[in-house]
Amino acid sequence: MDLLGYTTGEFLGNLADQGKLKKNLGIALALENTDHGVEYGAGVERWAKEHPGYFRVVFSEKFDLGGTDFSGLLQKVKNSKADIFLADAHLQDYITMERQYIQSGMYHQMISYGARGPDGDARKALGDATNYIFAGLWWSKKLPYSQVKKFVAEYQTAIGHEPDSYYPAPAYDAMRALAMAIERAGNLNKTAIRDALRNVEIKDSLLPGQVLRFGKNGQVDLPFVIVQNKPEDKTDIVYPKDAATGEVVAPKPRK
Amino acid sequence: MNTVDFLNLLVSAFLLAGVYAAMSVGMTIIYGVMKIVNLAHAGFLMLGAYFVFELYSRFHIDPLVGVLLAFPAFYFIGIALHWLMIRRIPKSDQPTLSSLLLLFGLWLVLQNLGYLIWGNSDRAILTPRTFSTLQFGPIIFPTVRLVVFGAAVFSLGALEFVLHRTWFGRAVRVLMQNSDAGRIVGVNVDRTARIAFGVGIAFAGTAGGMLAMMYSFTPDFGGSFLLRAFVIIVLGGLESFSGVAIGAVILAVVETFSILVIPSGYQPAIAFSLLVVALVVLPDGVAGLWNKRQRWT
Amino acid sequence: MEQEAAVDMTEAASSSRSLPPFLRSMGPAVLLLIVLALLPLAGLGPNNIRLLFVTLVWITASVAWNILGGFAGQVSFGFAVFYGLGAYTTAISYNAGMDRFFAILLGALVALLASLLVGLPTFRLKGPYFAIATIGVSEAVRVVMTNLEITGGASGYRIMEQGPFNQHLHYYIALSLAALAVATSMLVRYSKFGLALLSIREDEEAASDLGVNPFRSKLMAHALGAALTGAAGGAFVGYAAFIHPQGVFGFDISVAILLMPIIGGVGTVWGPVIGAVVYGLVHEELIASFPEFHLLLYGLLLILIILFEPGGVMGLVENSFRFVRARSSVGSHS
Repeated sequence: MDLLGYTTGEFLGNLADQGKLKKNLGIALALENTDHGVEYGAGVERWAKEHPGYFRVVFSEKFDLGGTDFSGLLQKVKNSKADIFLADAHLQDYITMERQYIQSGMYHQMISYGARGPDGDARKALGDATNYIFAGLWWSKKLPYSQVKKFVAEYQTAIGHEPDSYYPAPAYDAMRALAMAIERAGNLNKTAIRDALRNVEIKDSLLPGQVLRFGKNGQVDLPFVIVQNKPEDKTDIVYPKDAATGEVVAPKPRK
Repeated sequence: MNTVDFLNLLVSAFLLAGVYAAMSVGMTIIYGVMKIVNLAHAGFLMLGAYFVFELYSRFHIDPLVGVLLAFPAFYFIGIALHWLMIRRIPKSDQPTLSSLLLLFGLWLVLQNLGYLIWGNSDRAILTPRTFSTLQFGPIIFPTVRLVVFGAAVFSLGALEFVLHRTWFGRAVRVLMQNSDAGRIVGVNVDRTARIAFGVGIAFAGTAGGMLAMMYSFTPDFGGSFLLRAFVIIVLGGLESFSGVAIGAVILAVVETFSILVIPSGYQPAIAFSLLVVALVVLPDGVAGLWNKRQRWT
Repeated sequence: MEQEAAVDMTEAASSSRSLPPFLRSMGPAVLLLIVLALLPLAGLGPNNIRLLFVTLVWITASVAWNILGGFAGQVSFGFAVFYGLGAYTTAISYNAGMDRFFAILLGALVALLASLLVGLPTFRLKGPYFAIATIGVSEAVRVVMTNLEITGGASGYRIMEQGPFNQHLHYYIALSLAALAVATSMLVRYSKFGLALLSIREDEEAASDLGVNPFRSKLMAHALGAALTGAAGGAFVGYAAFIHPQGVFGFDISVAILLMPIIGGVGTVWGPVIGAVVYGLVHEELIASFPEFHLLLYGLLLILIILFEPGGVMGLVENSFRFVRARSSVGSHS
């Protein structure tokens, strides 16, 4: 999650380099009070610290899950006079917060809700309010890899609709990795499977970077993609450049 | 913070109070009349939300109409539930633990039913009304919250009217004080209790429908509202409807403005601490304090 | 619940003629203890040991809750706060270098002190008000712990292991704790203190008229229950090595802790044990095979128990014995 925040910072820094955003803008962070939210915030702050002059974090606070009214929190965000609003929330809070954000007439040049953005359910709940919100995802069905296109088509046939979130792809690749490990181990002994899993490498992974392998500490080290919602229910991958399917719109247009 | 921001925050707090009052009314009725703490209230909030959602997504019925339809629908569900299980609980003029546990069990069942029927994805209702606001100068009133506030005021007013100006209301007030005495005086205790329970569940379902216009929901929706309903009822004095209004305002105002001085991560602790403080220091709620003062003068 | 107490009082009165119930139930209890102690040595697999470990922790908490909730009739919906405090205290002191056993002891102590803090203001409340207040306390502590950076906040807290994982050690810790809990429960139940608690449950005012100090008795029962539950939390964190606020302070933990004695038979000595076994085993099985039904099952169980057999499993057993006894004596009276 720290990497997600870091990548978000990197993406925004990239926009500043391109001149789409000015330098030294203020960032307001509203983080859900879980390790997910905390690490996201830490990632953003780490990038800002390592690249002085790009952004200042002018506000950072945690909120509890399932909030009924974010007026007070949003008021504080308003008071901080930030230019960029980065939140990290579950779907329910994303919906509540964004609704109140729009109702109070707030505006920021860039808005994100962490890993939430193009979720189908969010689109159903927020409609046009989701336009131009960007999100950092583990995977997007728009990734321009042939194996992803094939996966999306097969998913449509099997389930009846395209994947509407990023969960199916990592799940699918996780099963592929497990299957490879079991085959390599040759039996169902759990220690043998675990050892085989350490060395598994999938060269046509669905995930960003197209290679799935486990590092020394057993974790994977995959890059995130940044997607941005576009009008009329479209989503574009806007970062990294080699996975991009569209241009990023920054700053967000005032309606 | 300037005046405009302060006023907007105040408006938010009061509108939130309306939301809180609306969802506590059902619980208050059942508690006041039958001394039953309805833990399944959260389950009915959830069912009310899905009821309005289904009417909207399947039959394109406007959520506001759906909310109105929820009232009779849940009234009958309440009556049925009373006949099925509530009337079998040993009765008492004091809240009993068996009723607490029974309704808790019911809540678990309702949650599971919700999961079985609708799964666990977040649902929400989106209409053009969702984002609309009314503006009076620089003060912003989100339309949906205004509607809910109006509904809350109306319900509380209607209930107060029924309670004090009708024969049925008198019967209810008798039950609230002493059901055995009521029997002696000729009140049909069982019928009154059944109707009151039905009305309480009806309000719960309606409130759930209203909440569905504002928030997204899953089958475990309602838990956080339940706790807040406790706080409100206890703060307001467990047995009066004006008490509900007072309790709702106190909770909403404290919640909204406290964020300005403490980190918002601690916000839920406020509701819980208020609850404990209210229970210990003000066992009859704020309304009780008011009554005591009236007796002295 | 009322009938159970009446029956036991006459049994206590007739103790001069047969073994006191206390000693009568010792026999099978000790046998059970020996069997459980030998199981790991007899080659029980690690997965089953884990299952038993979890059940033993639940037994401890369930029996502990029952001292206050079953004997004294004060239903707390917030016992998770003691479980969590015990867990965190044990984890923190173990990481600070304390011996494992003393860490658990410290956890129990902290939970005990907390119970006094909680009980002092809340025991003045009756019935459901007390129950609601305990929810408030437990949730408030959970929120605070979620925000406290020193203990990891929402990310949780990790134990730094000093050596390789010894599953048997944790199993025996849990077993000893459960045995201690049951023994305490038995001692309390058949003592004057226990009678005082039972009288409070039946009618607090009458009890105080007869010389019982309800406030003090409730505080003591609360303290005992809290200490044992805190120790249970400490035993758990030793095994799990990682805890987070939602996991140990969560409302679902409080619910589980009170569900178990009710299922098994609230107010009895063995009821909570049976309830914990049922809950522990069923919970594991259900979560694995039918995760979408477990809330339904607990809810239905609760409803059926309240409506038809408030005495839980023990009540069912008692009533069937009574039924059989009544049947067999009817013939002789014709």
